[in-house]
Amino acid sequence: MNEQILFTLDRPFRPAEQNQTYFFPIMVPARCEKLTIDFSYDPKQLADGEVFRNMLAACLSKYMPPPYSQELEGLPVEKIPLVNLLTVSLDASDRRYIGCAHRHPPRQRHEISAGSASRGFRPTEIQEGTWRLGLQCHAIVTDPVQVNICVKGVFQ
Amino acid sequence: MKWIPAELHTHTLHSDGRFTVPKLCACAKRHGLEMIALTDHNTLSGLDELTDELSRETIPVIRGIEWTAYYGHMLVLDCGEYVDWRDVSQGDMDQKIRQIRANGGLVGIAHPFAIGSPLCTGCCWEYEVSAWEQVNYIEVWSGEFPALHRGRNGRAEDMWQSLLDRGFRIAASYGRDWHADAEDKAPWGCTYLAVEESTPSCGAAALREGRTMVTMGPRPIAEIYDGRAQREIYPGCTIPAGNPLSMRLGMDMEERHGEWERFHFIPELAQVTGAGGRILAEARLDPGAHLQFTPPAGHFRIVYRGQVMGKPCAIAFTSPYYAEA
Repeated sequence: MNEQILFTLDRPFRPAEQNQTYFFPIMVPARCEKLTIDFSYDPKQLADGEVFRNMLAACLSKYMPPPYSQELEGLPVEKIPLVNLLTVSLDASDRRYIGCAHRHPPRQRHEISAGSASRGFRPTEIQEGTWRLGLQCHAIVTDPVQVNICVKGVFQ
Repeated sequence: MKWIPAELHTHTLHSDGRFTVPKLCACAKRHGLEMIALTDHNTLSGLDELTDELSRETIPVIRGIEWTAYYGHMLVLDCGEYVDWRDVSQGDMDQKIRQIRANGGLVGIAHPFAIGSPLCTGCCWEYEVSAWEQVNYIEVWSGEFPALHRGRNGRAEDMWQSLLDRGFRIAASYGRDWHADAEDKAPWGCTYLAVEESTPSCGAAALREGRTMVTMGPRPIAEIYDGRAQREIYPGCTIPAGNPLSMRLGMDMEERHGEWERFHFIPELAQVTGAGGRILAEARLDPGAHLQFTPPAGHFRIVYRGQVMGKPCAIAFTSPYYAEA
């Protein structure tokens, strides 16, 4: 077994870049048996402070304006963390959607092969060609959030 | 036709839920549900774990996905081909909805007035939709003790009512948005589906045809007979306006009572409401309550009111019936 790095990304993303999917091509050589995706971002949470309080207040006044805001009275809304949420998705070289890991941990490792796949992805034969990695920036509340992705191919 | 209780919005470890697929199915059965829709965020991988054996041992599952997009969440059920959400913009959701429908899928708007980003990313519905005739259902009630939350569910009811008043035929659902099994401090709800058989395809057909009722507790009873046409009618049915209807209305205080009896449900009144939510007729929910009602042209539905945990509120409601002139 040997591994080959097929794609890396190490760059900051800013709040203005949220609410979009960024696609990256991944050239997969022949005889690749498995793909691994190491994905992380940092920080996860916006620290308490003026930015946090302003963002929370803006969110609540937009989505729960008076009189509905009364329904939040007594709830510890100020203790709800504001977090970055970024996820990765994958398409095969024939454009089939393989899946997405839509979950919160900021450090994730995924494996995809014909026989098995990490939850969120479907087991898929790793065919030669141009695959596509999607980075979904659902929420970027820190300026910036640093994103790291490393996709490796595993060969016999 | 029989009414079965279903949960149509669920998540597993394939996205951010805490259930495995088998544990979700077993848990749903333990809670007295007879069908669920598996709707993990942006993935179909959990559907690969659905087997005939799992279905036989637990309950049938409608195949689905929750489009967890940037400006709204949308439940897509029973769709023949995967339709990609990642390139949808706020202005072109109509095209995506049509694509889903062209592939045989069902489209349901999830929790349209939940608090949105960044507290809950994309949870509030902010997509522009013109093609409401393509939308099968709206999650009119969601979350815990749904009738109490005007901000989340009252506004969803108002949105739904307004669309019905404009002539769109859209069913209602309840969504627990079930991520984990937790101790209940207040009632959750469920969606009752009228099905010929307890199969996923019959469940999907019930949603497609609008044969649904939503409740926080007891199953609503709405046995409605069109004497002139000599047939029983269900939500989603179209009948001639002016046909007198005989209605037996009530609430089944036995079915799934272990799920809701501790929250002290006292059904009191059934109201037939029409355009603008106007009350067209009403009857006290005494045993054997009957109501004679002749619908004008338009839509009408039945709202069951009473008390829950000492609070006066709606307990349940049906999807609309449609009377045509």
